[in-house]
Amino acid sequence: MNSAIDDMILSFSREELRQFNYFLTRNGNTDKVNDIKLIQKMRKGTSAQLITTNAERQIRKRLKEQLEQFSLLDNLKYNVHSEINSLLEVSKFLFRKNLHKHAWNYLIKAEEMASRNQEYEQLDFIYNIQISYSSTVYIPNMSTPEIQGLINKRNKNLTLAKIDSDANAAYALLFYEIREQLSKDPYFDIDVLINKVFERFSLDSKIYKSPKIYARVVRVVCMALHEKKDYIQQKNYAMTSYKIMSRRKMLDRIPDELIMDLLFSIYTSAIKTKDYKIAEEFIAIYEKKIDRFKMQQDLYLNYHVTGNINAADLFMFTGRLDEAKNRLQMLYKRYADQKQLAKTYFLIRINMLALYFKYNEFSRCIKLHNEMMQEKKRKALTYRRG
Amino acid sequence: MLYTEIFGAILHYENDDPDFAHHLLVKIKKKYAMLLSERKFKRERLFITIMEKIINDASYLTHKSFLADLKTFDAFRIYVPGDKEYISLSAWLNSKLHKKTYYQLFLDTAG
Repeated sequence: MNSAIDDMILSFSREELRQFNYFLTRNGNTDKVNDIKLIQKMRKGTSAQLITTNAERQIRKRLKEQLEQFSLLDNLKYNVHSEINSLLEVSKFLFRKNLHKHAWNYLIKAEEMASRNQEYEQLDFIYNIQISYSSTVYIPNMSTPEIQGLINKRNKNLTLAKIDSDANAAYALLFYEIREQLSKDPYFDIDVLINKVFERFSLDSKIYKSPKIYARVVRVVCMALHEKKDYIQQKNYAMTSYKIMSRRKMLDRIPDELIMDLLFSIYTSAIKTKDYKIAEEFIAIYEKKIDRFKMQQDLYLNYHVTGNINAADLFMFTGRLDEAKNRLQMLYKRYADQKQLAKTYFLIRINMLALYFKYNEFSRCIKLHNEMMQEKKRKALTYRRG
Repeated sequence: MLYTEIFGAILHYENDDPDFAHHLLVKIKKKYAMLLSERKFKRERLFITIMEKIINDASYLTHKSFLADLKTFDAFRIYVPGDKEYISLSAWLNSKLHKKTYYQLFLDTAG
């Protein structure tokens, strides 16, 4: 098994690796050359000894620290939770330095961000800090009714946090209940079961009122149906839900990832049930939305690759080989050598192989096939070496 | 991985190298012996047997037994578009029976 350092280095995209190399050079790090040498060695998976074992151990130790610091900084770019935490850390620092006015500004900024992103636990933590510092003399314009307002806000947030936590438990329970019911009776009434599960958490009245809860319920149902390979029911359920969301103008209030998952569920089930017209319609919506959404880079890559692979599949099924070829070649060029996409890259290549096979270009297929087999062999050897 | 290796045998057969395709099939049988002995892999096992027959016996493709084997093979599983079978084994065998291109048969299966 690879160590955490190896796996982290392998998971880097080219861009992330470049950023990490810059990160290593900060503060005039003089050992940077050896660090980069070791990284290259890990990425290639070669056993060539560039340095002695002892030195390698030292460099690994140093790299681990650097990677941990780098991951903290990287999280700040994409993870709201970390971003709020960093604001809180700054405010704590400012309170310690007796710069209360600035500290309060940071706290309010953190509160806004946590509230916007429904991070209830962090919000509770922020309110607690605000309440504890509200007794200091430095608070700008804080009066008794404002403190009462703060306490009220905290109480309201606690209720929301409980709903969120209960809803999470309900999703998990729902998934296993649907699984069990499907194995007994594939035509059972899903809506009755959803109400029954959510009733246990007193959330049955919230399902259709809260867009986020509704979208997540739909995602759970689609996942369970997909697992049971009941693609017809999955397609019908996902499409009906999408229409309901659209009619009730919920789509703008649902997190981007949930919408993407719903669209993905609709078009994959449509492909599997040979309903290519619907699949095409929803792939087009999916592709239109993907560039509009602001999401984490890794997540974007996954959505982008799977969307294009499915579009290429659809073109192949409907006799448009050239369009499929364009899509796959674009993916092949764009994602070549991206180690963090090893599985996805395998998918791209095997789809290209299937495409060339349809064109009867067998020597090209063999070249791709050999490439894939060699990669598998090399990977197996690297893992065996540990 | 089993499918990827079976695809390799098909590719070499189509690229006019039946000997190497046969060699690959023997290798697959050996490597995946445990897996292929399981009931849920009987379809893959039958495919390997059919392919060996195609390679070893030139008259097999025009023989009644090929038709019978193909019927049994098709009865094992209905093709679902978007499954992991990137090269449809059923469409490929049918293309040999109907003497049409693979893609023509693939479109019939997927359409």
